[in-house]
Amino acid sequence: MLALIILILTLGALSAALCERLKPGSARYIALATVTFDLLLLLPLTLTQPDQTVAVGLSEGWYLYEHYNWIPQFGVAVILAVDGLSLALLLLTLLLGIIAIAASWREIRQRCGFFYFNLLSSLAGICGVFLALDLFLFFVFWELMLIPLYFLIGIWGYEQRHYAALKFVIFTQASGLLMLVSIIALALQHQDSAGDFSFNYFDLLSSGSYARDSFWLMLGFFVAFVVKLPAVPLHSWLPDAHTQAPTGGSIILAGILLKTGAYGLIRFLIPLFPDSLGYFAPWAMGLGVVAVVYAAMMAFVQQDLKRMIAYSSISHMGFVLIGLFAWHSLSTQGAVYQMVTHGLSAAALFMLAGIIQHRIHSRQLSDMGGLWHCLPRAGAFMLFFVMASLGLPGLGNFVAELLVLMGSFLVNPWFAVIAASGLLLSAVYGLRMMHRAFFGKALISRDIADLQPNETAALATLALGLLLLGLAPQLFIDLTQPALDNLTLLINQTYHQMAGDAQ
Amino acid sequence: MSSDSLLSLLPLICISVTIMILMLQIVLVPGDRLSYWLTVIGVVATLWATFFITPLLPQQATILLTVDAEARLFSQILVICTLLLLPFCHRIPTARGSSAEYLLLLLLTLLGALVLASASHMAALVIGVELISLSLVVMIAYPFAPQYSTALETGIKYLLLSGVASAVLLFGAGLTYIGLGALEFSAISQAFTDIDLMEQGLVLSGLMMVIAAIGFKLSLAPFHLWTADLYQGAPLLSATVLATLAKAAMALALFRFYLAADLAVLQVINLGIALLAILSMLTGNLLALFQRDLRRIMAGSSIAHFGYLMVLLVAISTLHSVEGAAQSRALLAWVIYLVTYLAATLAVFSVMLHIAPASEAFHQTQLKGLCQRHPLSGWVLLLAMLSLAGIPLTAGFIGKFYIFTEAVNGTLWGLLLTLIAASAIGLFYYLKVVLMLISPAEGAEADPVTGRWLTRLPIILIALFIVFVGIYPPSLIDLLSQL
Repeated sequence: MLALIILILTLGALSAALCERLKPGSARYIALATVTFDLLLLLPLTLTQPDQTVAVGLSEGWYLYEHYNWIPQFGVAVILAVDGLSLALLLLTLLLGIIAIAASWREIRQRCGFFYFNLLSSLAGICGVFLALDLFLFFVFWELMLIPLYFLIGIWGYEQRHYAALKFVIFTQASGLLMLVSIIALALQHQDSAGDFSFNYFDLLSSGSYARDSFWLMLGFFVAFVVKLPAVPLHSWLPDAHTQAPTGGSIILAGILLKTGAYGLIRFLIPLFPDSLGYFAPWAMGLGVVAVVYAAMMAFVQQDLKRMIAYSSISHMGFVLIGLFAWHSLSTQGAVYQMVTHGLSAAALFMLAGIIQHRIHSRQLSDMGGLWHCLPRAGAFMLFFVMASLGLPGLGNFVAELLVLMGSFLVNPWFAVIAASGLLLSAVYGLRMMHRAFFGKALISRDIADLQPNETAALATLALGLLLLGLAPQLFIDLTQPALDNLTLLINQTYHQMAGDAQ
Repeated sequence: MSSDSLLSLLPLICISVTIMILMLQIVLVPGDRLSYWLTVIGVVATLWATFFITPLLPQQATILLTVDAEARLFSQILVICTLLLLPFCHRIPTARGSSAEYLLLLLLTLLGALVLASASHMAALVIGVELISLSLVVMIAYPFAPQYSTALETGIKYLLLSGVASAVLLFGAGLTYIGLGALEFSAISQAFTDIDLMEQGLVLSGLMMVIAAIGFKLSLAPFHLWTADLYQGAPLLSATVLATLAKAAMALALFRFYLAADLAVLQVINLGIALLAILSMLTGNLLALFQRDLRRIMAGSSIAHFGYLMVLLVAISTLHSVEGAAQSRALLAWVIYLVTYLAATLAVFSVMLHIAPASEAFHQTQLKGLCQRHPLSGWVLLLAMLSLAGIPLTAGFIGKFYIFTEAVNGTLWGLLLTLIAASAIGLFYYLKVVLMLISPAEGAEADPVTGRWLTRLPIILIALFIVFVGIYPPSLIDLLSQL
């Protein structure tokens, strides 16, 4: 069934491209139907408990596990599995997929078939990333999801789209190749010790800590994931890519693509190299703190609305890096929570930015002002999501950032204290943007239409999601906690083993 | 010489007989159509012969040639490559009325390539290289109609430079002979340890010269200066033969030479090869970076790709013993990389030949919107570019994966970092072409493009190959590892 999820998206992508030729305007309906169908297919899983019988290797807590042969010569197989963590991110991916389609419904008028083809195939690649448990397969999906996004930015983007698209691909591909080297090195060392060439996640678990050149191999993974996250100083592709992408593309980039980097850290880097939590955590957390503060300051000086939201994304994703490398049960949960809540709030903010740009044909804050008069509903939503992203209690982001800060304070108080200033800074730049764009003297005298029903529906869904996550956090925590507990168990085992070896 | 070892030369005999028949036919019953179909039959017969000789192998056919399973595989690759080129040779427009000589030259190139594929002696190496180079000189200067303005100039350029390279090759072979008293590949490393230091110096410089000469033919940096001019200045069809058949044959010959002579144990040589690899990877990609003509881009890309291949040779040398499993794995990696690269390059040139066989320039803007104007060509070209860039689910990724694996296995971190940096630079120009292909067509250039049905066949076959191998690599790996 897991293979089916990817397959349906791929088939949907192909049929969207074909049907658009036969009947213009049909592609978006096909895309919407495909993603909705996939979402409905996955939703029932949330009501069930993890199947203890599919426990593989050392870990438990998997809902489904599938294994198909692919390239036996390299020991590569198609291994797909889903646990609470993957499930949460898959649901986020498909939900934001629907939002992205809704946002593109009227915006995209040229070459619709190809647009939805790319949108769906990038979703298929991202779902693959969240499902794959064979490192070779993971790498294939990791690289594949970029190409459709490259097309989305390069064809339907704004003024500087070619530059932004190329920069995006080169950053991500080059860092991906570093990861490929690390993956191959792990597989080769497994061959030396166990005799067979294997890319199986369960075969390689915690092998990185025992590997030769362990630090450098870990760094290969770290760079690949941190470019996606992104953390300072590897972030410079992001403001360009997000700003130039069409709204649907921005939603996918900010909402889901950044989460693949965080997911890679939590699923691959830390379990493969558990001892990196010891020697590397201060550096990684330090990078996270720098990202939080630096990006927040950068967001404050931006004139371009989308650029400002892009920098705020970097700032908020810094919390994920801090939370993960603190690896306290609170902070890890907070990091995962932040991945989802930031996905929802950033998608909404980018959608609103797209809506404004579509109506006043500018992204510059200086061209806005007093927009509340003509766009009251959009303004209300904007206020809601700005409040969410600056961490208003009662909304999801507050829970996430609080958990991260509480957890990391126990591990490294100074970093937590500095990172907490990010909350303050995000209030400063968020409110300044709100003030300049929606209040003050009205610069736009023309009549511009407020939100369309489809836009309202999409934004209301996101708002409801954030409210739910803010008011009933336990629902989500119950879903992801077993998966995180398993990982912690695994890491502690390795720690004890390594301590034993050292003695 | 036993009948079996004579029979093992059947592919070479087949192609030689075809050449002879073709010559007689040109004189006695001239006719372009007859020449063409004779050529096709000859090449198909050669392909059949390579399968026919399988049970006889391995055979030492004279001191010059060793026909073993590896040589048979190499020959098959080269013959199939020629077969895919043949549809483009149908009714070549010439200024002389008849195009039969062109077919003759193509067959001579193939003959040289087949000699290289089973060479086991310096003399065979020289014969093969000369057969290919001299045929290519004529093919480049061939009077096409309409005449390529740069054809003659390019022909002379190639004649001079390739003459120098051949001289270097001969000189290198001579120096090796002075030191060792033998020209067989297999004698080189065996005798090397028995001679004194002075003679070792002679042999080493001789071997370096041989590698430099082959490096020239493969356009490895710093012997690459002719490449871009040649790719652009030569008639498209001749440039295609040079870029695919000739280069593939040279690469296979280099590999055979390297393994048979066991050069892996000579550290100086490997240092030289590593240097060639680093220079080629960076120079090739940087050269292609700001080119506007697709053919110049392909020139840079070919320099870089053969640089990647050289990494493989260095990786073999770090495995210390090139025996048994390690050797067969390295061989597999080499062949797979070469085949996937060949497929992608062939696809690019086929598309160019298909949509504009006679055009002198192939400016990037000509590619604008090709996916809309001529979907088959556009999408295949896009696929080939992604394959050259090594994106997963295309054949190119499998080849790249093999190189990475062998390099990691040999712990060549410096070369790997260069490889990664070079790939990142490479992405820049491959993706720029891709963007050009899918951007909307506009203005006067928006006319649909047409092409002949015959030349569609190889394009479709190559595209299917690239996709199929990319999605299901075991098929190709199994096929090529049956050695």
